[in-house]
Amino acid sequence: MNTKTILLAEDNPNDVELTLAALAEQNLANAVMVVQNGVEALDYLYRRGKFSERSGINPVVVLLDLKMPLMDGLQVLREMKGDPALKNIPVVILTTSREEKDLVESYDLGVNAYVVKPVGFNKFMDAIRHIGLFWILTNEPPPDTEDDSKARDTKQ
Amino acid sequence: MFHCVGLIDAKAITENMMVNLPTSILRYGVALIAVAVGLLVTVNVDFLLDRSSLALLFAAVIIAVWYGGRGPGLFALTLSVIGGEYFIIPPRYAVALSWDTAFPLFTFIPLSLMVIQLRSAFQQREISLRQSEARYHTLFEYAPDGIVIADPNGSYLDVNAAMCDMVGYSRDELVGMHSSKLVAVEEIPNVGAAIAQIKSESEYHREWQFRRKDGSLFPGEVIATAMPDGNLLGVVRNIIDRKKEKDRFGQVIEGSPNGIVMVEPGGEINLVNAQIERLFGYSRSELLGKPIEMLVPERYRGRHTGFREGFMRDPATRSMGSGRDLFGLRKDGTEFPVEIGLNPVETERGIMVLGTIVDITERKGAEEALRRSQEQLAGIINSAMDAIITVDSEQRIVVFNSAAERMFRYPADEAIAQSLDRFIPERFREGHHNHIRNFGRTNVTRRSMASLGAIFGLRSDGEEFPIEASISQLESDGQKFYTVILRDITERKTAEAQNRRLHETLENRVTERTADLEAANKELEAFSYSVSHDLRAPLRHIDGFVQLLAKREAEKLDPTSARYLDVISGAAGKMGMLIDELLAFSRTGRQEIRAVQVDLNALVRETLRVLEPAIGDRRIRWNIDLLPTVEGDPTLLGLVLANLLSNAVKFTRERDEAEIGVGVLEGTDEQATVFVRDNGAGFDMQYAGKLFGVFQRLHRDEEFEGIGIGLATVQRIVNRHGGRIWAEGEPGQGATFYFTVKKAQRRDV
Repeated sequence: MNTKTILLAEDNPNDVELTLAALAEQNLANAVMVVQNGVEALDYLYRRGKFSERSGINPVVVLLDLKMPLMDGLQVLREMKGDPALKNIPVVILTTSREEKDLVESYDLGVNAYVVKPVGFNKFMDAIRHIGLFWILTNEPPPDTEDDSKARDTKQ
Repeated sequence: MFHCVGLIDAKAITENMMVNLPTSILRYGVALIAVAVGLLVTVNVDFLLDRSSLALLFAAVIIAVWYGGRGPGLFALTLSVIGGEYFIIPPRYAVALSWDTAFPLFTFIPLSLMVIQLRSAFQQREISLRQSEARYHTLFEYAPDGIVIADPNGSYLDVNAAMCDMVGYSRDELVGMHSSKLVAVEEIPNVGAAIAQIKSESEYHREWQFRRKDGSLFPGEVIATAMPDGNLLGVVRNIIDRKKEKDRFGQVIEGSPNGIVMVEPGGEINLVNAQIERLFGYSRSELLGKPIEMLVPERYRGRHTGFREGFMRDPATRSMGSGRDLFGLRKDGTEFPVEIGLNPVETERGIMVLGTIVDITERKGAEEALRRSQEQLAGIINSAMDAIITVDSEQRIVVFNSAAERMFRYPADEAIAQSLDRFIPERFREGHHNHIRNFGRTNVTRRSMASLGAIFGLRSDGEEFPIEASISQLESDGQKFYTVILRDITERKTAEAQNRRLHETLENRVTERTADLEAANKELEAFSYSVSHDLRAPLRHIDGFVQLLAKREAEKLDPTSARYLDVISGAAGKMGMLIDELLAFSRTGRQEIRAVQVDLNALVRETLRVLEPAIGDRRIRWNIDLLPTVEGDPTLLGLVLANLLSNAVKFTRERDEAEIGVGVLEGTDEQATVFVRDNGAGFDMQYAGKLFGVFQRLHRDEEFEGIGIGLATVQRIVNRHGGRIWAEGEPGQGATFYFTVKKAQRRDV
């Protein structure tokens, strides 16, 4: 069984469905963990709340939407990159708009990639396919991503 | 002094003379012996004489008196009476006295007393004569003046010590010398004349030049007279000092800077000094003896004579014509102002008038100049816009100009001599006094009082008003004066306050507007952020699900349904593009311009590189001139070139050989006019105004795709750079777009 997980934080169910559809084309949909907002994303990463019993290792990549209720993507990014236990997890911002302000801030916080979702579905499919292929198949994740006990220890 | 010495000396001489008399013992001894001899002779040779004769005793008394004086005389008389009665008067050798035998005694005693008295009186006279002589001798000898006694011919019989000292001869040399030997050669005839005058008039008084033994001369005053014995007495005084003094005095008068003139009782000029000659232009000889009126202008002459006579009646030292201007008349007929002092001088010829004349032309000129300058100063002070007030050290007003009158609404003639306090609001008075006092202690001559902060004046009607003041001090004749220059700044203060209020209002308004604008901008930003997010997401979903549907139903879809799905998808895509362009356009309006120097040549090269994919394998002839370096935001200017050049490429698509030119027109020093020209589709000039409108298109999408926002963006960027954009074109002939942009100021870049 493939232990590599993708964490997708996206509040819009249409986008979730389209993203999953795109990933499904690459047979990557099974590895996707979907959360609805930033709080859930952090809960998942820190194994808090409903994810306290989560087992397994950290995701190989986090796909973050920017505009989310409760806690937006930039806030999640800030928390992750500020925590030595999480900062090595690759984060890809997956957003609808190319606002310069967001772009600058994301890179300041140490984002690993910034992708604007094209309006055209074919282009969107291409983008998702590239992301999936690159981060899950091509990219070698940082060592502690697979060492789940270590992450847990640090947190506790 | 000399008299005293003389008297003392005379007394000493008298005493000396008394001591020269025989001693008392000798004198009384002589008396005793004379009486004893008289008795012996009378007793023993009585045969020669009457028994009762007292003649010899009488002789003895006379001898005693003559030799010894009064005391021994009385002594001899007493002895004679006792001896005579005992030895001579019968009965002899008895003390008995009878009337007839006592008779000789009654004759003898009075006679003897008479003799004694006579001798005594004679002796007294001799003493006083000798004293008198001694006194005169002392006077003669000690007199400070030379005294000579000469015989009637003029040969000296005696001279005193002073005379010897004066002429340098000894007494022995002088005695027997003739008077003419002691005078200067030219004086010798006068000696004879003097002797003759003394003999006839018995008095002579004159000055002679005397000659000393060493030949030197000196002036002497001689007073001579004949003495009762016919000899001549002369007194000589050396008057060299008096002469010198007189000369000095004469020099003082001569050298005086004032004109000095002596006028005789009759009005004739007796004496003038050099300054009179200079002042009036006459020589001395032209003036002496002439009436003083010759120096008085004609029109005053009549009066002058009257005044002069009046002065003679009541002569006193005073200045002439006090209160009137006096003038002197020069020889050349010109007049000059004078000041004259008059002094009566008593002389042997009566009262003369000594006049002191000062030429006051210069003083008059100076007074006139001073008066004029004072008038001018007063004029300036009174015409000054600022109030000028001068106070003395007691704060009493000395100067109060017209501006001050207006400012304080108080007449100057009432303000003068009042205290300055009258014009200072009460609560400031104390502070003002301290300020003046402190200022007076400094040596600063001028100081602005504005440092006091707001100071206020008080008008006569009680109104207070703000003033600006400066103060200066001046010491004149030991008294301090303070001059204050005041300016009523009521209007200025009002204007300032109004200005301040206006300014505040304006600032508030600007702040408000800025806040509004900022809020609007924020809103716009938030709006466009939402637009880009929330408007695009549904489009993406539409397209996404259309694609999923098309894929899922691929087999079942009839061609029409498939086309419908394509249209939906295309519309969504088109709308996404519109949103992107609109957001870009909106950003160009809000984006801050970061102006730097931009080389347009490099910018064109870069733009063409980006355009390469759109050009593909088309044949385009590029005519690109050398372009200037300009000032602007490189990104935005790049957007301008990208739009214009991509338009040119797009609208020349139909040409077999497209021609696109970029160049610059001759512009001003500040602005460059850049153009982009093509030989493409062109446009009708009547629609030129629509070219730069948002979503305005002159071509159908089928001809040339586009959404009509590029040129609007270009225009906005050019305008925001302070430039202008316009276009020329003709359908089918191509178009030219011009825009102006600021040249870079440094040419060497």
